[in-house]
Amino acid sequence: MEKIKIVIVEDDEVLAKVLYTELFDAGFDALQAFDGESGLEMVKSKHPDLVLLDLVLPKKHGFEVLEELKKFPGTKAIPVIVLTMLGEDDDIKKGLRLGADDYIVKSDHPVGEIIEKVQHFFAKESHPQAK
Amino acid sequence: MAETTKILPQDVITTILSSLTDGVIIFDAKKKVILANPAAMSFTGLPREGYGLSKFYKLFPALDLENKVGEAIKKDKVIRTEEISLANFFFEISITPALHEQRGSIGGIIILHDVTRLKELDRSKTEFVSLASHQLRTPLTGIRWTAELFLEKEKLTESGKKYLRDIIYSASRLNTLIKLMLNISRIESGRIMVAPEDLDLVKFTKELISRLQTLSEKKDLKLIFTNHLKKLAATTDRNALDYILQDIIRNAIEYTPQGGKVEVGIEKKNNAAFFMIRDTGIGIPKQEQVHIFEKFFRASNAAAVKTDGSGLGLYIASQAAGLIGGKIWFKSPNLVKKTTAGGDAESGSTFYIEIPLVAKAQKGEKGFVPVYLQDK
Repeated sequence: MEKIKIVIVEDDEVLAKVLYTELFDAGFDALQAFDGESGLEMVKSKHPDLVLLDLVLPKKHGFEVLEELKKFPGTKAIPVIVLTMLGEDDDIKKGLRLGADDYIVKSDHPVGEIIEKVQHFFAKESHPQAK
Repeated sequence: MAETTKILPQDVITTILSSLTDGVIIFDAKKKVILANPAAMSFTGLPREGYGLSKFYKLFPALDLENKVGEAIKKDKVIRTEEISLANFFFEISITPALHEQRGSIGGIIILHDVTRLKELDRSKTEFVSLASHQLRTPLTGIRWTAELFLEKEKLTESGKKYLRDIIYSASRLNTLIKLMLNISRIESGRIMVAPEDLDLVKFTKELISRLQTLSEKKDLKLIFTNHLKKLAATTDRNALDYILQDIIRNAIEYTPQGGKVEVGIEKKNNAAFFMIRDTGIGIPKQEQVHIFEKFFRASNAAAVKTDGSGLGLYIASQAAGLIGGKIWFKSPNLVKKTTAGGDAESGSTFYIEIPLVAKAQKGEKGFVPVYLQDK
């Protein structure tokens, strides 16, 4: 069975590496982009099953990336989980309004919980009635 | 010895007034401007003299200056307004009545104190704190996640595991502290947003208590919710209220010895919700009670029980209560019992929180950052 493909858009190298390692070890096919522009391009070309999107990114802000992803017919169905740092209410609301499926405040969670959220997300996806 | 008062010649007075950087407007008993210094003229765009104060009032419609001037004269006291902007400047305005010994009120003086520069400094301080908070948390999360990975993936001795758990705990605490600082900075700058939303306070409190059950079980305490209401609808700021209740219930748990009890109650009183958090804990020493809501203050017996407190919790809780129109107070001790040795044994504290069922919205840049205090 083909692995589930996840694009991680995260500019902090340490956080990106930890996320990559954990997702890889959990059996996902993880791909990395370190800025907004290349993240957008990568999603367009690789068609992943999920995008983990940081917000404060070089070259293109995460919100712009999200907006564009949701605008293009080829990418708008790809689910996006926003990874924020501060978890401000207005940022979260904006993320959800722009079409994000979920948001995670990075600094408030052990990395294990984030991986669990991703696994849970696909468990729900494969059993739509559980949604 | 008789005191002599040297009266300064008028041209000297005019020169002094002209050189002041604060705006000065002098008005007579009929509230007509008899002299405005150049700073006042430049701030207001109004002439030097010969117009009614109503022209000046119109520049600051939000301040209700007419009433304030009336009050200053009537009560013979200085009245200061809140900060107000005009064009690109920020001012604090003070109104000082002039009372003549024989002739009574002869008018007064309005001073426009230019606080623009202070305001800019304050803004850059706030921006710095926000930026620092965001930037600090990225490497901090890196430390935490890497330590978690290390703990999970590597073969370690028991003491090695313990060290890593300490790193993770410290990183979590630092994360919480940064959020607390951010909230303080926002509250103190007066630019925090209050965004009331509809809540059922009974459900809200129940959920919060269930989040704190693990902590109370760890300490072998009973955490009880005494409630007779099915529902209590309110419109208030969720994050601010969550912080207040969480901080006070947590304190009750932290400072109550093993085997004790923490009781949380909620009632409706007129247009307010009334919370009560009663514990069987160590209490607050009488002589320290006045300081309990001060920033960085920690009661001596609390510091002895828990060495790593920040002294920020209750300060922020009381500020957050103020934001949503409420207040916090307490009674300690709850009980004074005679001991078998003949002395008094005091125990417990009860904290009370009262908040209006409908909080006023407040415009601002950002809201209260949600804080979930960490467990070790």
